[in-house]
Amino acid sequence: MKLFDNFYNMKVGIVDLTQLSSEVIPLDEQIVAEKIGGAAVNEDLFRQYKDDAPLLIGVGPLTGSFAPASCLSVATFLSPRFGNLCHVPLMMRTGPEMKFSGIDFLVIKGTASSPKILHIDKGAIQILSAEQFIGVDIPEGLQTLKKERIHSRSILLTGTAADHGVPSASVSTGFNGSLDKAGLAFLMASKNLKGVIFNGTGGLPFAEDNLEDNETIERKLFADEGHENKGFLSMLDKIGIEENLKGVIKKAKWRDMACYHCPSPCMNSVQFTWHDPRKNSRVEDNILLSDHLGFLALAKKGGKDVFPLSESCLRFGLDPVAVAEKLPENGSLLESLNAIEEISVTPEEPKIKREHHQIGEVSAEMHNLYGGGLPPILAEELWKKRVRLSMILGVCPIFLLRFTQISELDLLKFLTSNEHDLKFLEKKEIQSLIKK
Amino acid sequence: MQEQTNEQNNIITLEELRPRPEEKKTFSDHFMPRLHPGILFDPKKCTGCGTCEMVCSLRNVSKIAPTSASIKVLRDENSVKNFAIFCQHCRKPLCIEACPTRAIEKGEDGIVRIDKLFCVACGLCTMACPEAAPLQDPITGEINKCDLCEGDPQCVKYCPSGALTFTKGKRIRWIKALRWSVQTISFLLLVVALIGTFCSLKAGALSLSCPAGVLQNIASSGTVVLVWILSASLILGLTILAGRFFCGWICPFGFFLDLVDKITPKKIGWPSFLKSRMAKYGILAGAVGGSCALGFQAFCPVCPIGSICRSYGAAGTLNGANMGIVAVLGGLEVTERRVWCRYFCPVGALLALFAKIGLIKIVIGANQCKKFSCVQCAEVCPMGIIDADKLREGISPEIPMTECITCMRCIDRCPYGAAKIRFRWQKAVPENVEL
Repeated sequence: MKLFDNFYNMKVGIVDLTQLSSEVIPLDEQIVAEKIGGAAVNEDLFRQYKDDAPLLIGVGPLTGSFAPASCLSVATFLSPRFGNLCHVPLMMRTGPEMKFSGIDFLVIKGTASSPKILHIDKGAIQILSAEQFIGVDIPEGLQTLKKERIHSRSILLTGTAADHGVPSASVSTGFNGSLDKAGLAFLMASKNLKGVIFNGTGGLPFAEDNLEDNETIERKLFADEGHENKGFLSMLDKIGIEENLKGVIKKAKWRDMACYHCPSPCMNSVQFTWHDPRKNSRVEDNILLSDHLGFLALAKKGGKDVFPLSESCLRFGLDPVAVAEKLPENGSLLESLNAIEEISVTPEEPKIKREHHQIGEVSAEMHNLYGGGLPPILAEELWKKRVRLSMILGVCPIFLLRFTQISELDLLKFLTSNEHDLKFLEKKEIQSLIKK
Repeated sequence: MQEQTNEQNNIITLEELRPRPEEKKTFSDHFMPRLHPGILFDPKKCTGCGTCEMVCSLRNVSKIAPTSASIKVLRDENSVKNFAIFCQHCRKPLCIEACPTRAIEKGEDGIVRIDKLFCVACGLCTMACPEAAPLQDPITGEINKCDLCEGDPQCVKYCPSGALTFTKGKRIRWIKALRWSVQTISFLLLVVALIGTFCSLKAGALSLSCPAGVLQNIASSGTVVLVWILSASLILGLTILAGRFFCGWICPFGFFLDLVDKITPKKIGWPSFLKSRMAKYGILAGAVGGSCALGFQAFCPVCPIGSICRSYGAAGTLNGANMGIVAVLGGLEVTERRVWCRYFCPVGALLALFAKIGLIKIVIGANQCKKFSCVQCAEVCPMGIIDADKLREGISPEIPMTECITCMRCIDRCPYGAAKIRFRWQKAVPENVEL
């Protein structure tokens, strides 16, 4: 189908970690015509390679385009924590960099005999040794990358927690964490895959009139008063945060940060100083907060110590929600930091958790299908529709959950301006393309 | 001989092909240098979304390819801050000097452009540029450099957070114009019209005296006269309100030094072992102690401010001795700007003590300024108190108000609006909050 020609490289990368081989094959046009992209195509590819316990990373047609918040790539895998097929949204710049690196979908099969890292650039996949990254925390891992002059415009990296086989390990996009609460990092570690580097040095033409469509959507957004309520704190407000906690965290120095081409950021960098009880000195730190639920869970346990605790989780590559469950009640900062360090080196057999409670208005089961980290700020049915739409088209799910005034049609207009094609796409009911 | 050979061989030299355009400077450019168009970047507002890179690459290579853009957003994972690298269209672009094929030119409109026909993508311009702003396309190998989209920069147009703004550079430097006017009027008033009166002026009930002179008077006579103190309090009060405003805007000797500076732009440097800003306090103490011991104002006879006020005699004659002091100290201007004011002036030292408890301060927010290749504020500061190295490191330098003469050159010159005048109790830049 020619409809998506400008939106994909039409290439799939297949990596066999057991054989240490890789190939780039053409993306089946039929799959794209039927499934459009993202999580739906991932599901299809998962079925094709299901015997090799694959991990799939894919982008949507709008990923990297002028559609607002077009940052998304989706990792699809059998979750070691929830026991079913999960779609974890990977944001920041992962999606566009993946697309600009020359491939649209990546199938990672098998298990390597020693730690490996994948480097993808100009449509080629290299399997590099990652021995030097094992046992080092995420900031140190990023430094090692720089030292070894491995170009990384976007990197998915696991930390020491994954190296030690901790099920609550969480993959990190750079040093910014992620919304992975489904065990993606654990799965990567079990495949001896330390990280995936996307070096997006290419580009795609996309449709010429996309810039105008983007302006139309932005005008629509900026006309809405709700647009002013941006940033991490406003998201915490929407999810529900206690007033006393809000007071504590508002004191720090915040700065809005956005994923790729997002007009209304929901993340913040935060600068804070704290007294490190282990070094008995004052430390100045900066972190980027992107995981709203993780931050809230830690804030409930750690109160004013939420920032150093968040930094610690980011450093070791841990899911803050899982960590918060294990932190001591009313523990001191030192006790909590020691507990996090302990968690990060204590291997466990992953126990499949079947949760039946509600997270906001969304059932835990539904919530976990999409990584378990997306803010439950809408009623379940609408939440599911918006998340699925985003996961297929390659637009940030948080953005679509926040701005329900942006309709499916608004986004489809980025794919085509042809009335006939638009009607065809509308009839497809994109949300229903994800089977699970 | 070489030219002949070239001619015989029909070889066109680079000079013939791409002659360097002569720099055209109008008379007014010497006093009111033209500001050129450019893009201003506010790192506080930048969210790192990369929309600027997208739209720029669309113009450069007709596709969305952020690495082919002429602007690059650097996302520092450690400090979690964003910086944008793009051409500043410098006043004296180093890339032009570095380019071996003269592919880069600065137009009459102030925009530095690269002619891809002549560019051999050697990358020397990138190395020469303090911002590393000419960016090499990883695919085509071509050099991409901002040309401000010929006056309508797309990155500015589409930046959703307003971190980028376009300036056509037609800002009038009103502070400079005002300061020179006030300095000229003060000079004419104190040196020509009211001869020898800065030290002590009486106009009806109003009495105005040099505070250092009053201090020496008190020391030499051993008596404190209320009128003396009141007559000195005008300048001291002004200092508490506006810092060493007197030194920067009124002092006739300071104005004289500024004029000398105009004709001696190249400095040979003041010996480092004499660079002690405490020396002026020693001279002040010496003047007071000397006055006490000698029974007359010890420093006033050689004071350059007094000397310049007395140099033009009542009958229109020039006073040789006073002129000599002024000439010698003015000659020091070949070493550094305002050497006398920086290291030796006891009047400045006395005012500095009051400026320390003054109500205002000058702040330069490195967050807002960011451009480490700029440091124009440090270049124009006549007292040399702005730490350019700190600015290059992205740290807001502390401006000691005891040394600052509130000339506001830094405020006037800063293209980013990062230099500001603030009340002492106002926050300079948002402080890091301790938890």
